Amino acid sequence: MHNCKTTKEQLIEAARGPAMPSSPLLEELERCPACRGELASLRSLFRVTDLAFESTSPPENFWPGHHARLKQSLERETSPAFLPPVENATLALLRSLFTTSIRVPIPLAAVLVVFFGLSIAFAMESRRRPATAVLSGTSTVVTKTLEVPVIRDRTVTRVVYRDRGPRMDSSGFRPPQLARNRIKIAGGSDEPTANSPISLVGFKPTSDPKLTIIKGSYRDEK
Amino acid sequence: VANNENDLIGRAQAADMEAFCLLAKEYERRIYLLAFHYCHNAEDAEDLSQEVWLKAYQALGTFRAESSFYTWLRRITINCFLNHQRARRYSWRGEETEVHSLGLESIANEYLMTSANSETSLNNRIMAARVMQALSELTPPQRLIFLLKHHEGMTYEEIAKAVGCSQGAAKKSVFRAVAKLREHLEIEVETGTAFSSLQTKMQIGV
Repeated sequence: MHNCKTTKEQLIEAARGPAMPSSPLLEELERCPACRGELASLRSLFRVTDLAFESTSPPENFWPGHHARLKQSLERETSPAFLPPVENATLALLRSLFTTSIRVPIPLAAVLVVFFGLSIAFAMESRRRPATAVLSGTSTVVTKTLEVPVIRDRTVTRVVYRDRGPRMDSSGFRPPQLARNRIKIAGGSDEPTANSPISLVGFKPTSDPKLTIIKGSYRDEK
Repeated sequence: VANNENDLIGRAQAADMEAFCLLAKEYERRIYLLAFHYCHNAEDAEDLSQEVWLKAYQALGTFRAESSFYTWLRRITINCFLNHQRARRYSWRGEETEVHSLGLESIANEYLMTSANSETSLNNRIMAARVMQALSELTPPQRLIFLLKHHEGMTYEEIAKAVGCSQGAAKKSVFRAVAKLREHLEIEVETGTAFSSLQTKMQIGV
């Protein structure tokens, strides 16, 4: 099946090549007069172009001068006086870092620029906010949870009983205290102090005594 | 010749400037013409070709003879063209100077002043002006790709590799150049008529 579009792609090659195209292309051309016409047109077009290039080329007497200029330029540029100073590796790296360019697709570049712009705008806005709050005098409510140490006081109630001494009589005589002052503390027990005399008040002898005989000198020996 | 070239390359790699100049003499025309058809300005073409040779001299130590010397040199040339194109956008001065100087009136004046020129050569120059005009309307990469295809006979694969584009893009550039050339050379019929009338006017002294 002949396809003009596919054949036309080969025609440029054929028009530049030998007068007789390859046999598969020749078969295609025999079948299609339009493609034959296209080939003929391309051949004449390239012939004209070749002629045009030839006619604009410099004349023969141009070349010796051109070669002399080229030689002079090469000798000048490669002479040690004109050679660039040797750069150290760091400088060369820096230079390449700042002069290297990369190709970035336009949509990606646009997105990056917009993102960069927005981030700058947000940064400026966030910086401006506290300043405006101070200037306008408005206070902001900030909720914070603070831990405050609470001192828990324990109230101890003590009831103190105190023996009353003999009252002064009308003549202002106070009799000396005979018995010890006994202080009874609620929940406490009566304890004899070193100063108080031993008394057997409240002692009751038991009617059924138990006897324990202790033998030997060891504690557990019975 | 190959032995001689290899010998020259070996000597040039050993910093023999004379040997390098002999090598340059062998290929300088091809490089200059490629540069000239690319930028269409004699001065720029001279600068570009000198730059190519200087870079080739500096990089000669890296030549490993894996390809022919010219293929290696052409790669340097293409890189040089592309770098120049990036560094300094050619304003296609040919459009203003060269093509303008090849304009119909100037060609006719030249023809009248130097009667030795034949009519065929005159027609060729007019045709050349149209071809250059067509090429001037292409972008520099498209023009370079067309020149590599037409002038150098490179395959699309080689072009794509050398220029750093896809084969499809290389094909597209060549098709676009062909379309431009067709467009301008069809106008050629009209300009031929215009030129004839101009010539007639000049002859009768109007």
